[in-house]
Amino acid sequence: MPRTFDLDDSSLVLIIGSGAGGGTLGNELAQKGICTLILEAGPRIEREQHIDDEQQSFAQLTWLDKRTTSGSWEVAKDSPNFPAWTCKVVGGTTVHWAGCSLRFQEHEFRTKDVYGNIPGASLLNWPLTLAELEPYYDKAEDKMGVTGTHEIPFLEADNNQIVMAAGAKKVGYKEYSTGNMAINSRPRDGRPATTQDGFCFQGIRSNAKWSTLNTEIPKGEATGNLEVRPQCHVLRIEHDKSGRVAGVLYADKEGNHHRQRARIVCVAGNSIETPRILLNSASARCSEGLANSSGQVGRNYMRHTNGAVWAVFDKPVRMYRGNTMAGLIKDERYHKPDREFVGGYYMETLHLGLSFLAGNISSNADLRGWGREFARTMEAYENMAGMWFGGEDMPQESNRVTLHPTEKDQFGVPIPHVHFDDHANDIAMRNHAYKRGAMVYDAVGATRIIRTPPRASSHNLGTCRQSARQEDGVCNKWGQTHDIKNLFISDGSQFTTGAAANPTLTIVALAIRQADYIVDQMAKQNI
Amino acid sequence: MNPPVGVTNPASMTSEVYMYHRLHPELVGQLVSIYRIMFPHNGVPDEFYEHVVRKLDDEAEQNQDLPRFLSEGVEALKGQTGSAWIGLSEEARLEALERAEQTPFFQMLRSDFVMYFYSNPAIWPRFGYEGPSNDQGGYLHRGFNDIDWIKGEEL
Repeated sequence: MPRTFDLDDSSLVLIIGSGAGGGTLGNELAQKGICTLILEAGPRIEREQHIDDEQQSFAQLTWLDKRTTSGSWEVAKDSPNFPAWTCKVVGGTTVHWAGCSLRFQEHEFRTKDVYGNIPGASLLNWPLTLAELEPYYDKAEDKMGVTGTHEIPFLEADNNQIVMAAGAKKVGYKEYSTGNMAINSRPRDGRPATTQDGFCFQGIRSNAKWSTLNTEIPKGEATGNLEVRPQCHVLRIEHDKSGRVAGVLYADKEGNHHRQRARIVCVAGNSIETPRILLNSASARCSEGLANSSGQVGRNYMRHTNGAVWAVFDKPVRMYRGNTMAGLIKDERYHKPDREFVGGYYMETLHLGLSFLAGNISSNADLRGWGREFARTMEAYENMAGMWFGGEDMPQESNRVTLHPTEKDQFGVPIPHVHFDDHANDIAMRNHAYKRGAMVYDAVGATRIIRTPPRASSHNLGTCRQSARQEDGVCNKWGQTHDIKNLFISDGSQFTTGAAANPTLTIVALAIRQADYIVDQMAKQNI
Repeated sequence: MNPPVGVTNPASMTSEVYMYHRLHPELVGQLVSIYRIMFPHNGVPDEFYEHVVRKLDDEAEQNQDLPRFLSEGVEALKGQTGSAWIGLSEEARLEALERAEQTPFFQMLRSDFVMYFYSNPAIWPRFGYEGPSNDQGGYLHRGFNDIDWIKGEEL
């Protein structure tokens, strides 16, 4: 039975956010007998209510609170008030994610050593190694039912992947498949196999995709140790005279304020909201924000170097039939010093429905979003295949989330401002990926290629990074903040660097590992 | 592009009874003619373009300045010799739109069209998009891997 905790219960672990980090951590702690409360800013929308319609689903699930942007990135021009495509619902962005579950490579934990001195980049080695995280990757893959691991069969290739794989083979790539996906290829863990429904971005109606909404959260609630309180928007984290955090101030759906006490607070609001909460929690003692003695809170915002490549063929593809991103080419993921950039990237199939495709290709500079060529391209929808590529972007101190100096949200809290400039390495990698993506499709007879620039990202990383030394980051290898022992970072904000891989699997692995650490430290009365 | 088969009862096929709240019929006709140049999908009836203009009409209920903003935008779409939009050839219309591309009027029309035209379920069959699938068991038994021009051995 779901539990209900009192506002003045100071024994709780309080988690802000219910996505990949917060939802997983909540269940892990509940399974270990820890009384845990998750405050989620968004409503609880069960999967039966999810909608097979891009516009309607977007309105239902997305974090639409206003943000502002600046910098040289395309987003500041194309969608200046919408820099990140994340969700504001119970389950967080795992409701919308496609399911790509890739481990980091060994060298991606120590990029400062491997990549050398990259001007303008604030590279730092993780205080963590792949070997340390591997047991938790194993647990995460098992928990999520990742295809191609733990003897779970791969998904069957859909039309979009059949095209991409044929092109990959012709250009000489070796490592292509339907990918490691947290979508059931056969019934597992009480959930059915995929029906190739094509609406992975629009929720989990079929229940085949792992999200914290349909797995971690109900499992945690079943222990009787977990409460998930929706539509509770955390405004500030508060500390006591000794500097330890004591609880949070939040607004409920009517806008009424409440103070919730806690023994430990874990922040998992995604990489824009997490630093925003810390910065908005400034006090006389912590004048620059909580856990910010290093000045690193909000810095090194990363979002993966990305873009899309669409290909038009003479014959039908019908890319929209099948899982949204179940196609993967891994050959470009390596760090190859002979390329003109450091780090690597993955290519993944991507389909969009007619509506979102129109929006996406509007951002292609040649098509301009109107006119004869634009109309002709839309009319080729049925004959289109598509891929997204995502790779490691360079952390930069000036890529940063700050509090807006004047604009406030509905609760009177300054809205977040996101500044991002592309690094030269990001641009070089992106140009390489565009060429390779086009090669893949040209090899199987594409008549036209349409490249589209990076758009609002669902991969939002950094901003409260792990570091060995207090002055280099915000938290240690457990996500525990350097400054405050009972305050943790539990989402992708803690990433020291972004790696090439889609981040969710690593966020989940870190959350499982963090739960072990928190239980251990509680038992030892250290926190 | 597909022939318009399977299009039954689209919401936008009731134009003869639709009552505009704010936009004058003459303006509606002009906006449709602008959209047909901006997004030339030959063979797609005006009703689908009018579907977008109705969304503008809906917006005008909230924003009372919008009808005037739109009329003035159309008024400004003149040929190089100063002729009004209505009298321009197709080529001259395209040129007038090219010149107006950076104006707020043009940008609003463009983004509203992309937002509302392609999200209208009634238009999807014409573009070969089948839309919602979960109520039909997904695409597992409805062609998710039916591509026939790439041979299996290529994989």
